[in-house]
Amino acid sequence: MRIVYIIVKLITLPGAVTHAFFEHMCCRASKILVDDARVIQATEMLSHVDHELIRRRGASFDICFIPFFLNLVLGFLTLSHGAVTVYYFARYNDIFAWVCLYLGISLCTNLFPQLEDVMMLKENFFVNGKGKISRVLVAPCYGIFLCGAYLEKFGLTLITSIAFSFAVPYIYGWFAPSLYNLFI
Amino acid sequence: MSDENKTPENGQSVHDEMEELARVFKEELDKAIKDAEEANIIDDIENIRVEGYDPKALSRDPKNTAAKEELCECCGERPRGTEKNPNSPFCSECEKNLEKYPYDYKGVVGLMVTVGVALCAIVLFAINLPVFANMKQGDKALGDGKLYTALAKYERAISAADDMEADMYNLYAKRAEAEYKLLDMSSALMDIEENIPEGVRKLPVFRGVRAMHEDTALMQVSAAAIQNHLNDFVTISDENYDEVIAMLDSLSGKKIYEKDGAIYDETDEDYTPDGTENVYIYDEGWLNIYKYSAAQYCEKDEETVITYLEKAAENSEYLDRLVSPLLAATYVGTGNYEKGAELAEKIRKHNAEGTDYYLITSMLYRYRDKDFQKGVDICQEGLDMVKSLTSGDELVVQIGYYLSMQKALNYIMLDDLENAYEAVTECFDYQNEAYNLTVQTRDMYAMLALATGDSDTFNGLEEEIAEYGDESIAFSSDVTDYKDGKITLQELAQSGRYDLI
Repeated sequence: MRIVYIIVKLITLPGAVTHAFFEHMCCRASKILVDDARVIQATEMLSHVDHELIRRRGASFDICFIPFFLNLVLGFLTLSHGAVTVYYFARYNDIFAWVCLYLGISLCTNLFPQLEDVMMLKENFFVNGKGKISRVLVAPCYGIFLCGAYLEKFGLTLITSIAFSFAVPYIYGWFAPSLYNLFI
Repeated sequence: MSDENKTPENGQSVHDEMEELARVFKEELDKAIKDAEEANIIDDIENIRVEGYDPKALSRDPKNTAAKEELCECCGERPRGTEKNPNSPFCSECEKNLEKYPYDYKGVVGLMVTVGVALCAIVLFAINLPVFANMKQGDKALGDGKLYTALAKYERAISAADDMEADMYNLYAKRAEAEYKLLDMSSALMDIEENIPEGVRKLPVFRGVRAMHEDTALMQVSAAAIQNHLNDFVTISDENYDEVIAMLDSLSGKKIYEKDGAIYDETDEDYTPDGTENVYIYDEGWLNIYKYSAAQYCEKDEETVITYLEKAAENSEYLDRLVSPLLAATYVGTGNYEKGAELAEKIRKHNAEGTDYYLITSMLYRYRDKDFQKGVDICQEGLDMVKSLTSGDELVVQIGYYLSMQKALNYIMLDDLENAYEAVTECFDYQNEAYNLTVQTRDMYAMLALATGDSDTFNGLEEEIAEYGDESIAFSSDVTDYKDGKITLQELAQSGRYDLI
């Protein structure tokens, strides 16, 4: 499985590099000691940075959520042109649309945090943590991160992100025509 | 331990054993620490304490009793504070390490490229939004069976795409689908052949387009080949009816060859296929449509007509859409109202914006229910709906005349001749504007002109026919019979001859 994981990460290198950068950024912002921040390496740490254990709840949440959110936003924006042009318009001779499609898929493949970070989130919020409201708020994110981290471990996020890219024209289809009519 | 020995009792004994082992280990560790303290090897004790992880042992040394909040926030092991900044929450080593890892330049470059592409992507998406929005609205309309709206939306999307000079193959495929469902075979075929390259059509996502292309090409070639054979007959009459039907029967299963626009078939003795032509087999549906036309022309019994129509609709979605209104009208005309009503619903699902549903429903009100006012109302509803469409003004001319005639027939049954004349005038004008004036419309227009005292219009029509000098376009016997008082307008309205389909 490790080899599948690394192959998927190498296929989706731009997304992996971006995720690693965002994770490193969060480590720096939260003053978490980073042990290894090389973004390209043929190990499980590709798309992640090797950092010390996190004891603060906020930092633990940030390091899982912020790279996920930023990669998702960038991926969705990139897919808006790529998926719509390639899948919906079937405009196959648009090279930039293919680039956007690839980049969008690679960004969406590398959304999720490392399993260890998710476990640390659980430890900080649900084992050692106090405060019911924060637990309730974090619980859905924790569920998503946990599922995503397991999927990513087996390289399955490539499949889910391709499926997501197919859904993008439909997602836009829900609101874009109304939005267009509103302004035109 | 083997599986059969795993009992709760055994588990308890292992636990007790481990507890005993831990106790012995702790005693030994305490003894070793005490010996070391006596021998003044404090530094080594520090290591033992850390590795042993005994909080009680740690608490014995005043140096290690530092409060938790005094430890480094990052590692939680060493005292916080550095030489430069004694108030720092981190130890000097952690701070040094934190500063040691600057951003990897590959990550920075990757992020810049990604953000740049994402921004370009969203700008391009915004530029494509008019195409996307119109196409999506077209898809929705197509799904709801609102074919004219769908076509109008696709036209708008194509116009926006043309401004961008973009080849959006799926857009042409969608327009072709709308045209195909509106029975505009030649436009659908042209859209596919001119705008979607053959290589693209072979892709799995375009299998629907491929099937549509094959279907339309087959039907167009079949119709043209049958027409070639029918040209051998000057006219179809009772005398040669059987011969025509036998000829059409003989074409069943025969191959058609199409090369450079020319069409031949297996019966052409002069043509030898060279393997470079497109080969088709006569479409059974089209053979049945021509049989129906022959039967209708020779006024054969209704059962024969219905059989041919039913067979024609059997195997093709296109022909099903084409013959359904004819079949429904024939059912209603022959008193099979249940099947007529069933087909009317099916027709509405096929094309919610077509006039055929309103036409059949109006016929049902007039023939079955004898509720002529409802017949008028449903026709008006249909006409208003068509006029409200995006291209309503053009559409009403092309397809509105059916309903105007139905309205006129219902008004005749209500004995409201003024409104009937107004409605038939509307029908006459629409047909004239579309250059497809039928004999029925002209005759009804003439008879209602006569009935309402507009003799100028009647005389004008009579003069026009006389000027033309062609016997075949003269007034039908219905007009002369009505003029002579042999038949009433009500009888003519219910005869079925004036139901334009």
